[in-house]
Amino acid sequence: MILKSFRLRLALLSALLSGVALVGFGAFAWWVVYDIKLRQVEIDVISNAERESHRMVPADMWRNFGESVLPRLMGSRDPHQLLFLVEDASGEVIYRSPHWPANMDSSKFEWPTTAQPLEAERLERPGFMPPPPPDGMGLGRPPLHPDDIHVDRPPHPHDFLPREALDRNSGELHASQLARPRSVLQTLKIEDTKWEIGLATTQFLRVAIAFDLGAIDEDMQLISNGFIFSVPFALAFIGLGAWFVSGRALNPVRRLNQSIHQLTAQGLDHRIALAGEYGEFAELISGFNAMLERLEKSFKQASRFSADAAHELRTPLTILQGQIELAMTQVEAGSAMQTTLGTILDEVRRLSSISRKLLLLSQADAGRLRLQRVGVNLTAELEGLVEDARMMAVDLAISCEIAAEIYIEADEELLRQIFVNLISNALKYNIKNGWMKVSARQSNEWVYVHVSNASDSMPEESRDKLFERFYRVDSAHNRKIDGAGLGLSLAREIARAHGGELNLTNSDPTKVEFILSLPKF
Amino acid sequence: MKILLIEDEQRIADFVCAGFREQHFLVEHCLDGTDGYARASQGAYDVIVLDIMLPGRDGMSILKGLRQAGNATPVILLTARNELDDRIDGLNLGADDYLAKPFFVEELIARIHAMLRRISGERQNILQVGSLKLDRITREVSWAGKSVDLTGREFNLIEYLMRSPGRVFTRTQILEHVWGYDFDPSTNVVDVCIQRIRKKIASLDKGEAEASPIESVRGVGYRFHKPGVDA
Repeated sequence: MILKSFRLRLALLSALLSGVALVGFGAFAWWVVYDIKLRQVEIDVISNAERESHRMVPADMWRNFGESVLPRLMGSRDPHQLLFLVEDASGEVIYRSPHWPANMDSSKFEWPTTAQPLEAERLERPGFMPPPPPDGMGLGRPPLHPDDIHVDRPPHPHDFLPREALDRNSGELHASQLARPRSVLQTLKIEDTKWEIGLATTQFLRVAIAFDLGAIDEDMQLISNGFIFSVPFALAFIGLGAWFVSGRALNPVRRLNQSIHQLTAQGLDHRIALAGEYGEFAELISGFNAMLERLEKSFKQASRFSADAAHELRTPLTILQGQIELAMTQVEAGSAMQTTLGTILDEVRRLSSISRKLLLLSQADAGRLRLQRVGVNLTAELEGLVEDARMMAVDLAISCEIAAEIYIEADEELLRQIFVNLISNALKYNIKNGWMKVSARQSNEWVYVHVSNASDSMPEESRDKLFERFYRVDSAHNRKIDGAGLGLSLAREIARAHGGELNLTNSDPTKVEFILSLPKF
Repeated sequence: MKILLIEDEQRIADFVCAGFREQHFLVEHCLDGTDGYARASQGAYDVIVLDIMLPGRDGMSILKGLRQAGNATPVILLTARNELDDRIDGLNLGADDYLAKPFFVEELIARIHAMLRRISGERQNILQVGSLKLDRITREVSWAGKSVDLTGREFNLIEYLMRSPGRVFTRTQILEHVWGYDFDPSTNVVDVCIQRIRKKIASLDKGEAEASPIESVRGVGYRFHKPGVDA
């Protein structure tokens, strides 16, 4: 469907564009947030795994840590989403979260290889430098020699832990004396649950912290739910906003439109007032006004030209006609000279008639066709003209259906001009032994006069051009049939000046029918 | 009959005056409005023929001045420019008739006669030439005492021709007087109408030798037979 309303299109288009932008931005933001959260989880699981593997605490302390401390550290809402596992180096479980899934086998984890010996690590990493040798400042126990820690054979936790516990207070055996833990991240999918697992290994311990990525998905779901819920409202808001804004913006266009529709040939002096429009519209309006001005100027020029021409022709035509008339009385009756003068006189009359019609047309164009309205007996007028038609065209079947007592307030002379034109056209453009019909009827306020005649099929394009000035149906300016092609155009102008209309019906190709409608008053 | 013609175009005035004199009218002509108004308000004229476009005082102003001064001399306006407006304004100002340029002098004369008859109370309502007699008021026509039934157009036509027996009128002149200004000049309506009048008169005239009162002038038009002159 093609949307015709620019305003509606604008509203929908802005909603569509903002929709695309919003969804794009939302998707990007969603992805960024997801990524940040994932990274945070990765960092959390691995750093906590590392830290815990480094911790030397008794076994029961792990339980405490796993069940209460860790969830708090990780900020997880549901303890089931966080798993904790501590094994000794041999893979024996020291602590395991109570809800550890049965099918999650820690032996299948990609545990990092055992850490480097402490010595090497210490040399490599300044951060893990042990405190300086006690130099007698130690309390009782000499520092543990690195060789005491059997890298290739890690102590059994049950060996190790009590000893660590014992040594704990002495502070001699520092965590720093353990090798730095090796850690690795692993993602594991078990039955629709994706676990992000941080694995950390020291000489003695293996620590795994598994985080249920479903928790992130839940968060993300919340975000996208909010987004999906709010986008339609935002789009509706934007669309409505665009609708109102474009409505306001199109206001000058509407005013322009109104003015254009109100324009008629008589109203070319109309101008559209500028009322604080936006720059673009102000330009459009002033451009339109300038166009009107040019149009008015050339229209006036054309109109004045024919008026002036008709006026200028008037005096010489009058002299010509009067002189010929006088000369005709002075030559011998029936002489060749008188015949010639009679022919010239007829042509002068034709010239006068054209000039008069041009003047009337130019007055009508300029809206200055003044009417001298008097009461006209239309019935008598039409009956007289039909009688004339019967005299003029004896071969035609002429009929009339004229309602009695039609009176109309109109300019008698101009009205006669219409009827004379319609009827003489109906006779001229008839076919041999054809017909002509005049009918008139009235309603309370209107009078309708139909003048129709037989015709050999008049081409459609001729019908359209009949009211054009100087148009003739038969090849242009063929003088076999008299007339200048101004009559119908003038007749229509006269009808309009009376508030009526003159139309050609287009029903039957073998018939030409004009309908004149005139208001009675 | 004394007529004042106020017309600034000398060549128009020439043939109008010629036409009037042929009718044995007394004509005075002046070329500008100021002079025209002075003469019109002093002199006693039977008719004033007044052009509208005039140097000095224009026709409308002269007409208005005369009527305001109580001068009721009949006025015929000759309109040229913007004829419809002039016609309306002129009739409103008290003109008795108007004629649009270009006009036939014959038509102007016919209008003057008609106007004078109207004003003088129809004294000359009976017109008789030869055997034909017509009454302008009752519009009755009789031929050698027998009544002839003529339509309105036929009556107007024969009355126009009877006004100047022997004068040749062209079809166009007849058409303009009887049917009005804008009737198609190529029409044969005048000829058909004259044939009908002739037939109506001839039907009364069975066996009698008197010729038809309307004579054709080949290639020109028609004229009313002047009694005592052989065609």
